[in-house]
Amino acid sequence: MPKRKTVMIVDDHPLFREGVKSLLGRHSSHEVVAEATTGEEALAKVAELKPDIVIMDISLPDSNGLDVTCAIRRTLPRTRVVILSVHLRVDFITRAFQSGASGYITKESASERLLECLESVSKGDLYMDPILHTAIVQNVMKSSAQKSVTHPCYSSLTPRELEVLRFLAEGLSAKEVAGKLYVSPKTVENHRSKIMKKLDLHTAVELVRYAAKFGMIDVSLWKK
Amino acid sequence: MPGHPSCEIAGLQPGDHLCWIYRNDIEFRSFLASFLRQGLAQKERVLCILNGQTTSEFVKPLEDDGAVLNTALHCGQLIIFEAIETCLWDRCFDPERMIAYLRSEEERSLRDGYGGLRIVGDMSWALRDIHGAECLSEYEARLNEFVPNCKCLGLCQYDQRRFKADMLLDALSIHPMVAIGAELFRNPYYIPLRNLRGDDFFQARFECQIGNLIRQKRTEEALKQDEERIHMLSRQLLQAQETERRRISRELHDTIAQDLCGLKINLDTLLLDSPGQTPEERERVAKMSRAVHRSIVSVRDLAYDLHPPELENTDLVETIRRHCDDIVGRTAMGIDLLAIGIEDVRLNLDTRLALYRLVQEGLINITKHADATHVLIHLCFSAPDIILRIQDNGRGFDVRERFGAAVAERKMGLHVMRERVAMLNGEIRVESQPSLGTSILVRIPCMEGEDA
Repeated sequence: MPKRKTVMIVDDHPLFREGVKSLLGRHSSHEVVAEATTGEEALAKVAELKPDIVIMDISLPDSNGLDVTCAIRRTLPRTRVVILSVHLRVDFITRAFQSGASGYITKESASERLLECLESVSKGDLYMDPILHTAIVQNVMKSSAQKSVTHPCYSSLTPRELEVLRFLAEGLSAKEVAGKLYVSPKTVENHRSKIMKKLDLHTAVELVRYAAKFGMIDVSLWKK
Repeated sequence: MPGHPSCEIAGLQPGDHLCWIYRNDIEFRSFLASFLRQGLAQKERVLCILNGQTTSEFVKPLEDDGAVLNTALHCGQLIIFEAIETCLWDRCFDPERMIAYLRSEEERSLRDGYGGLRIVGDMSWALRDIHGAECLSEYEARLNEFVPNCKCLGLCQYDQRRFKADMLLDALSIHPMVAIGAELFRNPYYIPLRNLRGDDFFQARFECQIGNLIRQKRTEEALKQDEERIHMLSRQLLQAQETERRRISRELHDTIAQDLCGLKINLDTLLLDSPGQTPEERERVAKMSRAVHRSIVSVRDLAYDLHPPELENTDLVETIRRHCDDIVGRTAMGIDLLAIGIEDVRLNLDTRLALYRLVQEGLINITKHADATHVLIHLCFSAPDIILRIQDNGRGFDVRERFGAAVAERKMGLHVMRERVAMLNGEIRVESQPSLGTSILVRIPCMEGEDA
């Protein structure tokens, strides 16, 4: 018979901890060896008892369960952490796995999914609550479409260059921009050529079109 | 704000003495009709003193009220007569005699059971060849003593087309109240001294005008203070609302949803722990568990609606994008979100929240009123500002009229947006034309920094 896996529950809701204990108590594969209600207590007990699996809530009275997960994974890389949370947002799930968690289930699915999850992560697999699948897949699809919206070239502009870009797009001459920013027209010209280079633009019209496309200046896209 | 004439006239009471300057027949009709109607309805006797008109000529333009006026004429509630043919029969005007006459009329009205006497006097007799016409001002001044102390309401009628400006100026300085066209005013040019002549009069007039200057300045100052107070209050309200939403959202999520989850897992394990249960009992517990599950889902949705938790730690654009997706899912409207540069700045929570709420409120307005098929949202970091544009291709509206009517109709969406932007020292511009869609431009100084 394989050795029972030791489990620690980190959650500040006693009723829920009771539920989890009672759920696991029905099976001989797992044994709850400790409970903690705060992040600090969790770290202390983990260090002492080195459980195989930690079941972790995200909202803890003193800290964020994801930060605690990070800390546990740093000190005890062999301990698996399963997040058991009320949260259902994709970014929580993403951050949970980024923090080193091996599983994520929502609390309302716990009675159906927890054992399955613990078995998966014990084998070294990652586990995700099936009710999250749709949201995750949607997000993956979207983020591939979104990639086009992050513009590394725009991000490479300095705040000063951004200012100059807007003024130029609004139709100000280099001299006028210089007057507004209290710099020499030559400096503005320098900014301008850097902007054009960074954004891969070649004419003044392209620059205006670029600014209009992203709403920097007032050209209504409807009135074409 | 110009109200409907009848509303303002309803505020007139016995004891009021006003001069009524009108510029055309429309003003004449609309004000006089209301004035007469109100008097008759309030069971006052109404006395009209005409100049050079017959009763039927006088009543004719008021024919909308013809039936009412005729009935009143018959029963003696309404009395109409021509001045020259009666009290000025000798072509002599004597203020003393006129006042005495009005007093007797007032007493008679009260004796006849009326609540008071409402007098309409066409003052243009003073332009005719009447001995004593020069005493007009003196007469008006005496009315100021007589009217406030009895059950009389005096309306002195001045046709601006007939009187010269100096006489109108005199009239303005003598009457405590003035009606111009169909609008009533407390008369700031009123000089409460009577029978002044020459230098004394000019002195009083001068002092009155100086007083007006000061009063006007004070009024403007008070108005400005009030406006500032309103701004401050609405900002505090917005902030309080945000804090409350956040608190309720947290409470829902961290307490109620958590407790419900605890309840659910215990219900579920209860089934496992007691093997002796009948199938009916098991089914009942399972039903309870499902009900709790549904509650968890709705409580969580509600909490996320009140305050999107992503705003606290992840980026603004993603939160807005998710909100847009929600709306696209619920409506037939397409939304394009074009964001650039936002991920390069660390906006503080207030700014993130405000921008999120602005998009939310903008989209609420659009879904409620615009009938648009497409919305384009720009969110852009353009140093030193964040620029937000929300454009729709809906039916548009008249911006000035909308802002004006909003308060009365309690549709405060745009005002709230304006207040939010002002809170962050930003600028908002709403451009719209009927049938050409609406475009909202917001410019907020980019405030980076840690959240408070």
